[in-house]
Parts: sequence; C-alpha cells; structure tokens
Amino acid sequence: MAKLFRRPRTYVIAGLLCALPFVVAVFLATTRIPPPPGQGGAFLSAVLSNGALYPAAAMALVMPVFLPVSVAVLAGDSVAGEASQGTLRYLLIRPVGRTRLLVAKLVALIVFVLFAIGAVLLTSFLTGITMFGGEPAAGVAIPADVTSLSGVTITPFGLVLRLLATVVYIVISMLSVAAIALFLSTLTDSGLGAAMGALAVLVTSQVLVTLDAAAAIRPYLPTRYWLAWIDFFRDPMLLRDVERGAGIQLVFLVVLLGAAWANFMTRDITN
Amino acid sequence: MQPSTVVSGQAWRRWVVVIVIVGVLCSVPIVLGLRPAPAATTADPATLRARMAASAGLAFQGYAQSSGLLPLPSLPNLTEITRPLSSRTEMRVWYADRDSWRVDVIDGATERDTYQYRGSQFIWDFGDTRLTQVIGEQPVRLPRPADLVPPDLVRRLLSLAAGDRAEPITGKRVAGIDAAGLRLRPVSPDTTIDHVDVWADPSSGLPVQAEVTAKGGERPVFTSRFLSVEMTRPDAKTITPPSLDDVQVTDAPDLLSQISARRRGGQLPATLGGEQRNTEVAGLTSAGTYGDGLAQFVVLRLPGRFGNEAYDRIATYGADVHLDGGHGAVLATGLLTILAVRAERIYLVAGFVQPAVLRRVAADLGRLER
Amino acid sequence: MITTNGLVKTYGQVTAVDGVDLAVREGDRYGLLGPNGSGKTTLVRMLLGLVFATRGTIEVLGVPVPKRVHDALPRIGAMVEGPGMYPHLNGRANLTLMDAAGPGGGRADRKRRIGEALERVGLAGIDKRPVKAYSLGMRQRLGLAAALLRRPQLLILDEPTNGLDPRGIREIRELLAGLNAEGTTVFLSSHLLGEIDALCTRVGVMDRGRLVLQDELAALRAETGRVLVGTPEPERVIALLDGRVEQRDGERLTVRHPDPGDLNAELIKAGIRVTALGAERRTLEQVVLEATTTSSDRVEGSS
Repeated sequence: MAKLFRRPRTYVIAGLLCALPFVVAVFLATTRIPPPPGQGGAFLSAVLSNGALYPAAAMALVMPVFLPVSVAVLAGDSVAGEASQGTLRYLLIRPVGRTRLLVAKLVALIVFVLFAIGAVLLTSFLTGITMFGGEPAAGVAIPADVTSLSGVTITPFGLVLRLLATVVYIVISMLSVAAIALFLSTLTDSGLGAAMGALAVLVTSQVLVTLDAAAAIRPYLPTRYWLAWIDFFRDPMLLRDVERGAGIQLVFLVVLLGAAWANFMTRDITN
Repeated sequence: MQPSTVVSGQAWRRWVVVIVIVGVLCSVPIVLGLRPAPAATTADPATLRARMAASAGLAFQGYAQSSGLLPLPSLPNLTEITRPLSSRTEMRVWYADRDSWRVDVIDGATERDTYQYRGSQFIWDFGDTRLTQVIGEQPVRLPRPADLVPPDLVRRLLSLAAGDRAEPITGKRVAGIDAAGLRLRPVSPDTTIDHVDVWADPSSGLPVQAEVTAKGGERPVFTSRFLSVEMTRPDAKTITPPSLDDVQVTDAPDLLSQISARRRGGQLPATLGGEQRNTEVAGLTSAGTYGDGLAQFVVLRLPGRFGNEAYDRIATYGADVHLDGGHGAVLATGLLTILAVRAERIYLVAGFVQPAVLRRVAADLGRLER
Repeated sequence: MITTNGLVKTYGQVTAVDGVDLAVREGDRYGLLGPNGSGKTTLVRMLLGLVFATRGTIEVLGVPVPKRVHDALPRIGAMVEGPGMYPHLNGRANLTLMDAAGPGGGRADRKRRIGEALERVGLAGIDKRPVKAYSLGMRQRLGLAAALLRRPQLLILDEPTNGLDPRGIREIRELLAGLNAEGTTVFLSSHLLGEIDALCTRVGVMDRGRLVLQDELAALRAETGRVLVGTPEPERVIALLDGRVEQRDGERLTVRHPDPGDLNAELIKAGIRVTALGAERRTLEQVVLEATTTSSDRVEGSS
C-alpha cells in the first residue's frame, strides 16, 4: 500500500536498521578486534579480511532482534492502528473487503521488509567496501575474493545470488512475525499491545530455542531456523535447515493468518 | 468469543476451518512419528554384524547429528574431545572411500571441515580462516569429530566389542532407511556401558545410528545418527579441499603427537590396574591403551604445562583419590570415567570403565612415580 | 431504502439496540434523534456492516446486510462518528487514498471528483497542511467530502455537524438539502433536536435502544386543537370564552378551540383586540420529551 511510503516512520525504522551495522562497522574498522569465532555476530570476524562479506554480517546483526521488532511494531499497528485512527471503518465502508484488507496489509509488510533489507544490504555493502576494503582487483569495486564458510571462493555472481537467496529467506522468516502481530492486531485496538504481544511470543520462542529442556518442541518454534540463511554461505549450500525454516514459517503464516481472518471477518468494528 | 450475532454461523465455520488446518498441520509430525516402525527385519545378527563391519567401502553423503548428555567440564586443550560427549554436534559428511572423505562440523555461523585427500588430512577452520595440511598418517591420535559419524563410530564400536555377543532388536526408521538393529552387551564387568545399540541398512550394511546406554541408565547417554543420508558417491569437487596453493603445512596436528614428539620419560608400564597394555607404537611413549573390548581405557602422560589446568578442572568436579606419591581425582559421569593424577608429571586416564578400575590404576601410577 | 426488522444488538449484558424496525423511504431526509448512548451509532454501524446484529434483519438499498453489504456500500456515502483520516497526510492525499482503496471510481477522473467534493463542502482552497493541523470543523467537512466522493444514492451521516460553527451548520444543512433535492436520500443521526427539526422530513426517535417514534415530521407537529391568543385584554377573553381557556400567561392565553379562524371572528365580534393568534402546534421537543423517559446519562439514585 502506498501509505507505507508516505510515512516518515518507515524511513526512520529503515534508517535505524542501516545504522546498527554501520556503527558496528566503525568500531570494527577502527579497533580491528575481531570477535572470537563462533561468538558475536556471524561473519564479523571474516569481514575484517574482506569487506564484501559485510552485507551478510549486517544481516546477522539485524536479523535476531532489530528486524523482527520493527516488523512486529508495523504489523501490530497495521489493523489496530487503522482502528484507533478511525480509518478502519472508512476503509471497510469504502468498501474494502476484510480479507482483501488483511492481504493488503501483509503485502505492505513484505514490501517493507524487502525495502528495509535492501537498504541494509546497500548501506552495509558500501560500508564494508569503504571501511574494510574488498581487495579490489584493479580498481574494480567488486572484490575478487570472497570465501564461503567452507573456505571456497565465491564469485561475485555467486555472492549476489547468495545474498538474494538470503533476502528471500529473511522475508519468509519475517512472515511468522508479521502473521502473529497481524492476528493480535485484529484482536485489539491497541497497536502497541499487538506489537508487544508478538514480541512476547518471539522472545519466548528465542528463549525456548536455547533451552535444552524444550528440545522436544524446538523444531516447531518460529525462531528456530531464523539464522539458517547462513547455510547459503557454506559450500555446498546446506538447504536442510532452510527448507525446514521456510516450511515452519509458512505453517505459522497459514495458521495465524487464518486465525486473523476468522476473527476479523465477523468482528464488530466499534472504534 | 463474541456474543452470538447474525454472523455467528459464518464465524464458527471460519474458526472450524482454521482449527482443522491447525489440526492437520500439527498432526503431520505426530503421524510421521507414529508411522509404524518397519517390520522387524529378519536379518541374521551375525550377517548384519559382518555387513556393518565390512561397510567401510560404501560411499555415502548425508547429515549426521550426535548428542552426548555426559556432565563433563570442559578440559583445557581437550575440548575437541569433551565437547561431543557433552553437547550436540552437527555434521555434514561426504564419504567416497576410506581415503577420500570430508566431514564438516557445523556450529552456528562457523564450521570446521576435515578433508581426507590424497593421503593427507586438511583442516579448514572458518574461525581462523586457515587451511591446515596434516602430513602423513597418524598411528595414534586423539578422537576427532569425524569419528562420530555413525558408520565410523559403529565400526569402531563393533571392533571394540568383538568378543561381546549381539542380539537383534526392533528395527527403526532412520533418515528414511528401514534399519535393522543389533544390541551389543559387553561381558566385561569393568565397563560402564550397559549396552550399545546400532542400526544399519540391512541390505548394504551401512550403519545409520548408534546409541550407548550406561549401566543403571534408562535413556542412551550418547547418540549419533543420520538425519538424512544418501548412498551415492559425493562429487569429486566437494571432497577436494579448497585453494590448495594457500595452505599451512604442519606435521604436529594434535596434542597427542606434540607430546609424544618430546620423547621424554620412559615407556608407560606394561600393566596398570591389572590390565595389559594393548598397543605399542614406536616413538609413542606417553600414551597407551589398556584393557579389552569396550572396557578399554586410555592413559596419557602430559607435561605439567599441558596437564595442570586439566587436572585442576577434574579435581574441582571429581572425587579425590588418596595416593602415596601424589594427588589424584576421579570424575565419573556414568558412562565416561576420567582419572587425573598429579605426581611428577600429570596422567590423564579415561575410558568407559567403572571408577573402581581407575582407582586401581591411580594406585599403580602413584607407586610408579615414587 | 433502509428497512430493518426486529434489530437487536447486545454487548454482553448491555442491550444497545433493542427491536428496531426502521423504515427510510427513497427521497427522505430522515433524522434519527436520540440522546447520547441511545444506540444511534450502533444502529448506523449495523446498517454499514461494521457491527453485526445479534438478531434481526437489515436491508439497505434493497440488499440484505451484512450478507451482501458489499453490493450496497459503493452506492452509499457515510460518515460514522467523526471523520477518520491519516493525520500525517493532507486532505487531498487522504481523499485520494480512500478513493484508491476501494473498487469503482476510476483513476482518470479521481482528481476532478475530489475537487468537486471539496468544493461542495467548502474546502476548495485547502492547502498542503497535514490533516492533524486541521480544525475540528475542517475535518468534519473533509469527512463529508469523502462521503460525497462518489455521488452516492444514500448518505448515512452520524452527527455530521459536530464541531461546526453556526454558519458551518447552516452551510452543511443547505448542502444536504441540495443533495436531497437532486435525489439523494439522506439519513442522519443527531442528538441535536434543532438540527433535525430544521432539516428533516421524517424523524425517528431512539431511546435506550428502542425506536420509540417514527413518523413524518409534519404529522408529528400536528395541531393540538388549541389556539394561542395574544391580547391586551385577557380578562375579557376569559369572561367571553368561559372555561375554554386552559392557560393564562400574562397577555397570552391558550384556548381549546378547533379552528383559529372561527375563534378570531368570535373575538373580533366581541370587540376584543387581538395582537396575535395562531393554532398551537406541538414542537418536536415536546414530542421527543413525551416519547423518551429520562436522559440516559443521568444516573438515578435507587432510594
């Protein structure tokens, strides 16, 4: 929906998302102290030797917290915000079908995620190249030598392909967040409440993922496979977790969107 | 729910649709889990065992997971050994034959790959961004994560338990393979292992799962299994180490060789705790294995700077053992028992054996140092 | 145009709308009058398919609601409980968004239609300020413009003159009357008696969720059979009419008499000076007060 791009808020969030990797990059570039391998953000130790991998590191930075929070806030506000603003009733009597409205909101969220990730990718790529250098071959901006996690050189084309796959996977990963918040958003007129509810679910899920006692349900948690896109940077690519992650996300999407739909279709709009 | 309205009927229908979808989706994993185990494969245990033991030539590629539940403290310099026993290890495996394979240990955003390629081993560590070549075959070495891949592990267990009897157990579906199972019960009273269950593809004999259950335990404390496996030959490109021109060559790949290279101190005694020393490798004086079958244990003699920390750690968590000529501590985890003795040098002894055996060993080591 | 049958809406224990049989005919200027909290807004929302009735049926523009409300809504312009606008956008952008959000209304003449609607409500000169900087009256006009965007057959307006100054109220009244003359049926709800008195041809009165009265305004304001007489000689009138004077208030008398003309002739014949004379009509206020019980926001003690 066009509304999204007329809102200053959208740009502020995207700007913040871009700023975090930038700040990290500044610190890394000035101190050159890499985090110990296996700890800290993924790829962070690797970017010191090659800045072109920085977009991947930036994704790893924004993925676990920042991006889901912004998606939850936007999605939580999507229906509840319209309701409390009083525009929801006008949209419905315009008439916009209720199902159509939900789908439009979801599409808008996907567009937002794409936009935000695109911005993060672009800024972090520029940051990475300028701050860490990309061992440019004869002045070419795209570095010749990016290695995967497995030590195999990735061609520039391969890198672009992997980053694209990453973007697609992250969008899919955000679907469950969007669906949870959207569902809660149809339950309440408070956008903040819906966003908080979605975040509570995510935090619970994140905690349970790390808890061994909850191993039985771990594969079904929405955040379990969030970082599986890292597997795109292995060689050969490991698609096992990616497939599972995408499957889980789609299940959550179907179920929660279905619940949102079932609830919203016959809900009284009293605000 | 809202009070009833003229659209309640619709609302109910919609919720029913959603609940049915939820039900279907939730029941998928449950139904898959309840899918009847394959009919008990009638493979003769002896044949199955022989097939498993002879499976080293089978090419395969897959994804394996091992998980150990032993409450082990992490031992400095030895984390490579303790970690697999006390946590979960995810591995990608490509295996063409005994001399060309690759195992990637995957952990979060890093990986550590081991290649067996043209007679030498290459280790790529993403954390260090370094490819290391290990020249030559190592006669004795510390265990490495690649040993946890089910086929390797099962073959090793089978050879250790050569004298123990095997009985058939119900089959199991592992990574899509209807696998036949065997249970090995060690006869030796010295071992902490109650039984080892192994499963393999009945036709080819490729082992797909191993479970070790300690005495007195109900659940296996160590499991290694394939989550997916294909019996196809991996791509040559995949099992070739990357960028061979930029490799750091070393001939001291692990701690054990480093220690042995020092050649100090005499040979380890021929018997310890009443058990015979098994192997004698030329040049390797500071390590040896003792005992039979699954009741084997390993003795390492470490110089102080390697061993002190490990000793302290074990002494913190383990029980003190009184010795004539030094200090000792035994750490029993139910399955693995570790003994550390600090005398003039430091001895580390570990095995799937009863603590009583290691106490006898400790006494012998104490006498030895005096 | 609008027909409801035994319409009931309960929220938990509270019955907001109770057995309403509404009948709005084509060409009506229908005023739904009732105190705050009498269920007007809930009723309006039900008509638009925003709130679902507990029982009863609704038909709007010949289409059952909420079942096929989507067939009716494009022909309805509505404003429910104040305008809803995106505060960070300007008025024109808001109208554009709203128009683009739903079906119908081609892109080609959108600009023209928005311009016309704004002109009708007296906002032709609005600038680029965002809606959050608008006054309440401007927002109200903007909401009305949104309702008019598509030249609807039926206008459903909930409290349309809220926040307008007297001149604004008059302008809106004229606008609605003009639209009605062009063939638009107008249905509006208000708690302001004067507004409905001034604009509507047909009135429904709601009280505590019930539609207690529904009739032509003219019929409601029927003559009462009394005549109001103004005279400087009230004593003489009382003496003359003996017993038919029901009430005296200084020089103003209320006389029970079927025909003001005859009464006038009678008084003149008796040589009584008359300064004013007219048939007494019921005011809408009286009608409403008779029909309703007590103000719903008044909480009586239960002693």
